[in-house]
Amino acid sequence: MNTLAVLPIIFPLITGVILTVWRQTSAYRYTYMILSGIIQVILSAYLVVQTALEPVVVMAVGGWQAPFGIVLTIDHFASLLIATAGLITLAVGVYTAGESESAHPLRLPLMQFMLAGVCLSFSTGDFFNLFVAFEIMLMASYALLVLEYRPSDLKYAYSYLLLNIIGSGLFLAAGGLVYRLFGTLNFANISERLIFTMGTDGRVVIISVLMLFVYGLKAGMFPLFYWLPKSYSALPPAIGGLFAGLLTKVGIYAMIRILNLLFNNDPLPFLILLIVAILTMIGGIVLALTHRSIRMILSFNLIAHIGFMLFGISLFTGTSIMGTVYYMVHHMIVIASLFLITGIMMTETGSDSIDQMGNLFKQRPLLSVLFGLQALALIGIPPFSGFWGKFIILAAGISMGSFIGIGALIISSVLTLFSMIIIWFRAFYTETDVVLTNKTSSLQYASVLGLTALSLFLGFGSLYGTNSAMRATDQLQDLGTYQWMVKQAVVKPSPINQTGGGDYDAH
Amino acid sequence: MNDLNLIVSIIASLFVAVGVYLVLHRSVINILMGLGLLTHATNLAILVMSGSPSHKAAPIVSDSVSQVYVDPLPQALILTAIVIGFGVTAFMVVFFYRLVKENQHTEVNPS
Repeated sequence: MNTLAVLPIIFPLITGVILTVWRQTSAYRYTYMILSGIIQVILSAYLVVQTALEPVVVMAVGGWQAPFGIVLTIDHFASLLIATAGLITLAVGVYTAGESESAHPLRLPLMQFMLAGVCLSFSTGDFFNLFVAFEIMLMASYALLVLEYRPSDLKYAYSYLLLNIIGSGLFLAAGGLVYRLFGTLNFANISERLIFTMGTDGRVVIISVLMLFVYGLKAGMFPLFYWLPKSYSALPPAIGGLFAGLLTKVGIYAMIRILNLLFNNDPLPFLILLIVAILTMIGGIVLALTHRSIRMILSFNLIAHIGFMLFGISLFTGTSIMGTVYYMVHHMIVIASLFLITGIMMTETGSDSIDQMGNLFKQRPLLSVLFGLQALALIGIPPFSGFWGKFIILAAGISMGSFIGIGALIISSVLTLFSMIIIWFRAFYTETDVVLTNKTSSLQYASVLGLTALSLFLGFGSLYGTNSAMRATDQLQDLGTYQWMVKQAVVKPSPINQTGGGDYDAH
Repeated sequence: MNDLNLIVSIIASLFVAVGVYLVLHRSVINILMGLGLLTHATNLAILVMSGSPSHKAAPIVSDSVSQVYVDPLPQALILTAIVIGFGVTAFMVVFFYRLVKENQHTEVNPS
């Protein structure tokens, strides 16, 4: 029992409520938001340190015994992602504070609510609670989407809303199936009762595939990414960066968590995942090359790199999960900072089409260097941060003999390089008659600088990164300790015996 | 599975069929109705998951009699899901209202 686990969820909620009431845009409001963001980062950094030393941090909410109440479980993987999510929200907040035209007063509180939802989905140990967390996160994102769009772009929000609502419905239905089959919704309990299946059970496979569909929809995997590029690229770049950094990764995280629990030696979900991953890697990056708007290019790059993570999950060995964890943290930071850099480029040139940009290299050398560093990290040139995750996934792929996947990953990386070179030459090198507006502030640069420094640390400090990812993978695979930690988080015994009972119920 | 659960399952599947049909329309009213039906279908599907209710008492615990109770958890889940569904539907109504005002007609054209 550790009350610490609930703080990263409560804290943004409180900040969000205060910021909702405090509508008047002022320097104090931004200062408060930034301070609370810093505290959030410190809290989650403490959790990262604690989970690195101890087993899972578990909190039984309301003091109820694990299968009856909801538990919050934070392992190293979850705490890493919570810390990264807090950092990205902080960076986007700093960026918003530096913008010349003031944002809608509800942007800051909605960002905090979204962060709360994201943190809850990273830290929950209960299936239904995961659904609720997704809904908190999605409701905040719906509201942000509709507030931030220009009225003429509202139609792009429609496909996002509709697909996510249908996805939530399927998630709920899958939750019902899980309850019927296992008689519990608690992650630790599910994995305990899965032992009773003895070999492969078709129903578990059906649930896993349903889950793959739902989380794949959120993550933007191959046939389901229709909603992603249009809705992300019509957003203002700051919010686009927040969405690209956080929302799709929640889908990947849930996929790893659920497959890890429901893993029962049936190759079908992993085969589907492998095929889909290859198509996502190739399809996303090829589509990225056909666009001239930087936000579009970045959105399709995001889809392609989701494919890398899916490939890592589809192999599902210790090494590949480790690579995926590393790559996720790297990608959250890098894609968010690239969106923020795009935002600076857009305020400078007044457009996000690379055809209407130019002169940036000579007149904005700092911006060019930042873009260059982050682009190199995105491509995965050693020793930048993208390289290590990809390298570990590649190594896992070679040892598993999955050569088509490796080929797709390498082709996709090369084409990422190509799409970044297009932006670089067109927007930075070409000399045009574009006049730069000089409307950016130092705060905007500060947020991008911070994220770039982090990504550089992940690249050059890869020893810390790999150690951390290894620790996260070990904890993920050590289900025994996880179950034990969840069980001993009891504070008071339940007054009633369990009435339900799925097919695998021990009663 | 007894008769009641069979009937509820059939109703849920009908709801899904009609809901998908309606969501594929272009008119915002049809889409709203379709989304509502899909939500209800999910809720009914969870209700079926609580198992057969026949020969089971309502889940009110008393010390004197030991009985088999209906599993109350799916109903708690449905309650939460209904509230969330209500919120989402309210949001969609407002969203469609803005969309209709913007487009000056009652159809969506996501292109």
